[in-house]
Amino acid sequence: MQHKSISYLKKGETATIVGYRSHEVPIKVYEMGLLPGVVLTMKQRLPFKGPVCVHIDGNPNAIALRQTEADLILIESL
Amino acid sequence: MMELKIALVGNPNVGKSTLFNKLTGLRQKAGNYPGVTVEKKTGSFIDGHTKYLLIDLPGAYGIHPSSLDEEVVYDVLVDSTNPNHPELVVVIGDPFNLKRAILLYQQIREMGLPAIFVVNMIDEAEQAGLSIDVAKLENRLSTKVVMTDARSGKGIDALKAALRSKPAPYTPAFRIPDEYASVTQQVKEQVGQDNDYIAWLYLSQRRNRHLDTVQADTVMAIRREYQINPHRLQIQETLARHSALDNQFADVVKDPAKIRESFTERLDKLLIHSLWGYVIFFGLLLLIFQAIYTWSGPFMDAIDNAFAWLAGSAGAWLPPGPINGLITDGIIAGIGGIVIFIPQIAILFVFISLMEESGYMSRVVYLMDRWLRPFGLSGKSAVPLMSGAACAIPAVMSARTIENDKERLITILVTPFMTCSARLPIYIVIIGLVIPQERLFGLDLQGLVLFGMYALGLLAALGSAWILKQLMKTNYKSFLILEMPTYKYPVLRNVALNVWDKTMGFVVGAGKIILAISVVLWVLGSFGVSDRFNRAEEIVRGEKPDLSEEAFENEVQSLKLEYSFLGELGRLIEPAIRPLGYDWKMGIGLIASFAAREVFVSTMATVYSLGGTDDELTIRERMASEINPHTGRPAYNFASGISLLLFYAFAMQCMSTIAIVRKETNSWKWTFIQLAFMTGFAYLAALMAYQLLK
Repeated sequence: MQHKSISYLKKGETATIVGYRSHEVPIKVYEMGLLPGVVLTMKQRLPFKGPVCVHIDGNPNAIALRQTEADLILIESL
Repeated sequence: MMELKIALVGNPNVGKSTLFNKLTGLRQKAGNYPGVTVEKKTGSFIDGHTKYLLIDLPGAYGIHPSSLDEEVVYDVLVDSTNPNHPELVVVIGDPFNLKRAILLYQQIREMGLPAIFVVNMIDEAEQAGLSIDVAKLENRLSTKVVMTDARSGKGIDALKAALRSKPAPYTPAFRIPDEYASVTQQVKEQVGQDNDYIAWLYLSQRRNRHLDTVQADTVMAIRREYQINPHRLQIQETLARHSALDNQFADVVKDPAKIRESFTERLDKLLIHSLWGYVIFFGLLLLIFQAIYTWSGPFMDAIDNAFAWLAGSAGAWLPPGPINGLITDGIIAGIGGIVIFIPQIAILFVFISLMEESGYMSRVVYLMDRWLRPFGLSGKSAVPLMSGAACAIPAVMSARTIENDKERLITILVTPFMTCSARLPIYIVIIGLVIPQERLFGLDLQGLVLFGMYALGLLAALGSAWILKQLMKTNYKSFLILEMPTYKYPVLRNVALNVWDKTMGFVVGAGKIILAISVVLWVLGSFGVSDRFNRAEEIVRGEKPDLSEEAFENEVQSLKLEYSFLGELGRLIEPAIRPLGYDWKMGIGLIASFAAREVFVSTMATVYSLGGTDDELTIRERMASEINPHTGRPAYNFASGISLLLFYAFAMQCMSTIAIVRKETNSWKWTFIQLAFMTGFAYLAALMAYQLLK
């Protein structure tokens, strides 16, 4: 089954991370806690393909990602 | 007394610097914008019979670096011969991201370093209803765990006491994967390392700068032989650690309220809104610039008057002559020319510190990323570019947080185009001389031109960034993964200390240069070897026998200046600058400005006072009455004034910036390219302006 990536989430949508599109995902993605099984919510998207802002469940800090990074992280909608 | 070296390590935004300040009492900057703690910060305190030497390492999410300041953490911790290598590490985490901090803690313990663990910001956790089982955490981490709140000072004494504790023996949480067991063994044997995990790090790090060339070559050879991709190893390790952590620490943190809309989220709905976010940011920028120019007015007038009084009384007290000119016009006026900018620099840094302390700066990075990317820059370049409006030196240093080499290099190369405060005195004096005091559409024309100079600086920065982006190649992918921490009330003491540090650094640095240059100029301008210098009186008497006493003195002085060492130097470069509309006296100002551009005005004051005996005029009046000997027109007319403005806008005239660029890029090539490009561009722009306008 083809999974969607974070960049397909609409504002306010929640999803679970299931994997990554390639092996070349920056180490920071993992270190920030964007890991398989983690539930996240799309909080905000900037226009003109600007970066997106997501919230990991239970974490008050937000994470900003460019579209290119958001595209690497695969999700399953809840 | 015993001494103990301690390193503070932690994820960004956990209040590590605030904790450091609380422990050492050393006046430092603390904050949550990634980039505040890029410089090495050390401090010390005495507790009992032990002196603790603290080093505050840059914030890092794990031991695998993705930027230059994160590399420092690995370099210091892995290398036991590093002068900063600690005897005890304090790992700091925040209650909402405990797992991330534990991961870093594990990596440090497995490198063989003793460490204790601190959970900071417990007040924020308690407010959110979060509770942490300290006993369980201590047991699982095999070390002392301290709960602190650095802002209120809670738990600091307990932390000091904990520094004396001996961490319990530690069992590695990460087992080297079986498929890499033999190759790790091979690294251990061939490089002479007895720690399994460090051998694994040799394989998985992009750079191991502490190894000698033989060792580094050995590691590279092993990597090639087994086709090891360091990045995959890092990912494998991080994933393995995280999944173990999930099971092991699930019962340590109790968070009853998983769903809550925080104050931060509500504020972010506005502050990073796709429309209002930008409106607010640009509104804030306008406010900052407005504040810089209006709030500083009374302070600047007061400083101006004070220095005018000082120069006046010194001039009256000292015997007339060139030494009088050196002290009043060169040194006092020169120092005054710097001190007068303290209010503006301080106001700018107050805003920048508040933005960093509150957590707003990372939102600026988020908002600006999309608009800076087409120029080969990253959202993180917004901070150096904004700081560049104050001074390029801290701005260039703040580029260290940019992970991508190419984006970082471009940011460093273009930041000096931003209109720094050292350009202001020149802009203000020259605009005052050549732009009429009129109104255009109800706006002050001189103010508009000044605003135009700022816009020109930004345009030059973005334009050259775009050119560099086309020319440079990179092997590294650019990315933006940025944590935006919760908003916090700025710790006002931190802001005040930061403003003080930055402002004094600028004043003292520039003040020293001005003092040195004033003295050098005075010496060069007062002595000479040529015949015309030594027989100036005879020559003037012979050429113009019927001058009055005062006119005679003036003539002698200016002839002496023209044939002094300084005059020879100015006349040497005159052919090159005549097409730009400058005479040899202005050439001296240009030469002096290559040390630091802010000395232009004081240099001109020294030059004009050496060349005349009339001490009544202010620098500005002297400049206004100066006549260019070649054209017979005022030296500062519209064409040459615009030409000067453009030259100062673009030319690289700051030794300190050149030095810092060399240090930060570690490349003479790029430093030279930047110098040549900026100065060449400045020359062409000034040339075209003068030739078109004259």
